[in-house]
Amino acid sequence: MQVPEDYFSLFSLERRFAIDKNALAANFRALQNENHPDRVAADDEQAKLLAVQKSSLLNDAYATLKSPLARAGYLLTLQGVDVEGVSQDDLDMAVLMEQMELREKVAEAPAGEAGLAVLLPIKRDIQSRIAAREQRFVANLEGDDLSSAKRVFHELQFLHKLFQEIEVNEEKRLGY
Amino acid sequence: MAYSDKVIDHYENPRNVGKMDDTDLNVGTGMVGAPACGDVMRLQIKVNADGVIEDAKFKTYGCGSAIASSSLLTEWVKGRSLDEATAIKNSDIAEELGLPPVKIHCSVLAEDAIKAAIADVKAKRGA
Repeated sequence: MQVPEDYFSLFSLERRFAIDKNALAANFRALQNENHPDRVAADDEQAKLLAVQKSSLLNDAYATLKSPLARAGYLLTLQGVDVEGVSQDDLDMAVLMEQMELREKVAEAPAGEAGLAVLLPIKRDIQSRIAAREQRFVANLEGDDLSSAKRVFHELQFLHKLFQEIEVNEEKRLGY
Repeated sequence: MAYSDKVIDHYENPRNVGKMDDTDLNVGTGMVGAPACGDVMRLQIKVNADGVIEDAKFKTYGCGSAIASSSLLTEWVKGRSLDEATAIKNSDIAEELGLPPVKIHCSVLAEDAIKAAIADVKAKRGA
């Protein structure tokens, strides 16, 4: 049986969470160059369409592997795990409490630029929580414990989402 | 996508925001979340000796629809028995608030929260 091609093999990378980001970027640029729709003869509509499709696939693949969260979700998807379907049983009470507490801290930050000094340590805290979760994710995935890996993935989703929201919050305070 | 007037009303004037003492055996707590949206919802009910919900509180971090769904639900469950509260469906909430299809999951979250709160208080009282 032919092994189905995945985004990792597309960029000649090993199928794992830890990737060489420089190799990913370099291989992406090389493939993008090779498949650029402008390189196809102007009158060959069929080849043009194909090139456009391939270029869009490359962009999707690159975006998926570049983002640690999307990469984690993709690794689970490749194992047949449905990461879109979430039931409350997939979430631990402790994780929901953690989110509540972190969000309360963010909400309590004083208004305006004064709040930035409060948000910065919260962001650092979230980053360290993300790093710890990523290690657990890798351990679960390598140990073939997919249900635990899925739980950790959902925890990562919460943390990344909160991190993004804090960045938007900071930008607003700075008037961007 | 525009929010309905009812969603905006609940978002701007959320009812029953707060926290109850979770160690109280008559208080049931439901904590639920939606990881992709980052929403977290805590819904609490206080049940009297007759099994009627006499008070309800919530705290939701999330979009306007999630806040409105939980706010509306706390209004609805007050004065109802646990069985009556269990019968509330997410579609009732979605219809009342006029939620568009992409926001139906917010009302599902609220239904999950009240179900969890009811299960919690039943477990505490039944013990």
